Amino acid sequence: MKQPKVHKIYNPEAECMDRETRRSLQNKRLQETVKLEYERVPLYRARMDARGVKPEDIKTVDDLYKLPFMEKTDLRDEFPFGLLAAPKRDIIRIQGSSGTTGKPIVSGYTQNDVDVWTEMVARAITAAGGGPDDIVQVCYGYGLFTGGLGAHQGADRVGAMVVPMSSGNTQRQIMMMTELGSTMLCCTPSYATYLGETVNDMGLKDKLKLKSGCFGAEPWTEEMRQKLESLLDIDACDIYGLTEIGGPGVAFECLEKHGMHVNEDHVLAEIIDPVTEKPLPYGTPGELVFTTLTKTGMPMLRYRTHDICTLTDEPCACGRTTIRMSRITGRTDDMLIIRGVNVFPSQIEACLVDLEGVAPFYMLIVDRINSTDKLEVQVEMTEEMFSDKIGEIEALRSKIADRIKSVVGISAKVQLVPPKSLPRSEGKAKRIIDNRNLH
Amino acid sequence: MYISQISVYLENEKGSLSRLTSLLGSHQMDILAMTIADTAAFGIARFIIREESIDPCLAILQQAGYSARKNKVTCVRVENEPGGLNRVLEILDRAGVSIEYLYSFNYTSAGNALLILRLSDREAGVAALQKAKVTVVSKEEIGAL
Repeated sequence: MKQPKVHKIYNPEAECMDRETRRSLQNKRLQETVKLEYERVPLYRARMDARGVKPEDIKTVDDLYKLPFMEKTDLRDEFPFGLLAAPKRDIIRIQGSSGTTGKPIVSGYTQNDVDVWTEMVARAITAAGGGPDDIVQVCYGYGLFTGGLGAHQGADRVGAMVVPMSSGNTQRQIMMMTELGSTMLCCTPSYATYLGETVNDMGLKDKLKLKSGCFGAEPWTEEMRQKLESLLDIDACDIYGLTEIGGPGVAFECLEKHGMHVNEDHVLAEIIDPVTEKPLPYGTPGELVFTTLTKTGMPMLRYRTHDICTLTDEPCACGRTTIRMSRITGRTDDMLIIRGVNVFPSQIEACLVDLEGVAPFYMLIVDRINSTDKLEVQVEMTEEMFSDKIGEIEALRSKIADRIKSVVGISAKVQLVPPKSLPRSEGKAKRIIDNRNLH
Repeated sequence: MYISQISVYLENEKGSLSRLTSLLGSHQMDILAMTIADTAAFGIARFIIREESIDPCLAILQQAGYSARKNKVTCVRVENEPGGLNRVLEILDRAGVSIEYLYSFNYTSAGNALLILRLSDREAGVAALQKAKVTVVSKEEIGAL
């Protein structure tokens, strides 16, 4: 059952710190991290030298733009220990991800790093309403993946009763959930939805004591949240993180569910234009870049996540003073540049999502005709969208085109095509056909 | 009083209509009347079949991946003589009912034409027509054709 909206804060001193004080803390920690990285990590030192940047050039957060970026490929190239800034004997944990292209990436954690990470997850669990009275069922996988152990450590830190189920075996998950009376759930939103559907099918919803959950490790939508919340009658909060920066808890939602609070005393978040690599102001969508401020095992400076989102510094009703990041709306790999405008398929998707109550399948086709880029958006007609009247179909078409124009800022030709006529691909949906010969 | 019509979304390209009619034919669907509305980009095929075939036909279309819908339309019998159509239109005009689209067919050899009308206000239109003694055809009568 959902809880009353009472904002609980794990570390008010850090999370509600006034912004000026936090900024000086960040400046100090940034200087230390840059110095550490320059002294201990040959790859990054060479990169700074190539740019002619010395650690003493970085005095404040405003100097961040001077620093070179780090990429996932760096972790692969320097696998496993090339990026360590601490002696191996100080590393007490390895976490990693399989990556999608073969060679894994790993990150080394010192005791300090595990403590910081644990604190970040503890803040997230508290923000979702968790505390010593809660029974937290963790059904993220335990292992190299940071989800399971991260949630476990955080729940442990807030003093909750932790149920380390790991992933899979849905029947057993549900049995433990009902028998123990678990009050919180930590897993991926898609698995939570599956659990919710199964619980409903089994007619066991009444037996649940769940009130909320921290769901992450994959992008999800507001639509999914609504569904999940009604399936399990809980507050579903988003949590974001990545192994390279520390794991889940880098940012998390409070019960306002209005963007994820970035743990700014431990990480710096920037948004950059993925092409020009220039920083972008709050409110503008772009690529999320993180700099760790307190990691000592494998610190990261300006690490490019390739995730697309926006940041905001508008105050949140919960009392935390940190900036918030929006949901991840896409990956830079999917970005198109059309007539000089950055276009993310997710923006187009946002224009389509609530058409007559359905989210139709779509495809973007880009052509260059007479040296001008043309964007065509093909949208599969659904039953709900169809009408026997030409006028209504034309009106729908111009409504979509108008929305795209106002959201993305460019005119697109909208084509409504018959259902199932667009090519489906296995796994990741292919949404773009770029017919311009730009290479 | 109404009869049921099925409308189907079609791409405006060579062969798309015959793909539809071949599908309907292979399921023994007897098309009593059909009209195509087209724009440069797409078309809508609208057709009349017997009432008992409507739902099976929709299922077949959906199964085959078409966007299709059932609509209620008005069917009237019109004298096959000059001014026959005009008489019907004037009645509707006076009743303040507008016509979204219309098409006609002649199924019987009796000499009367059947007119299919999509009206802005079906009930008001039918009432006005019946009051003026125009024969409005029921779905049962269509079924018996």
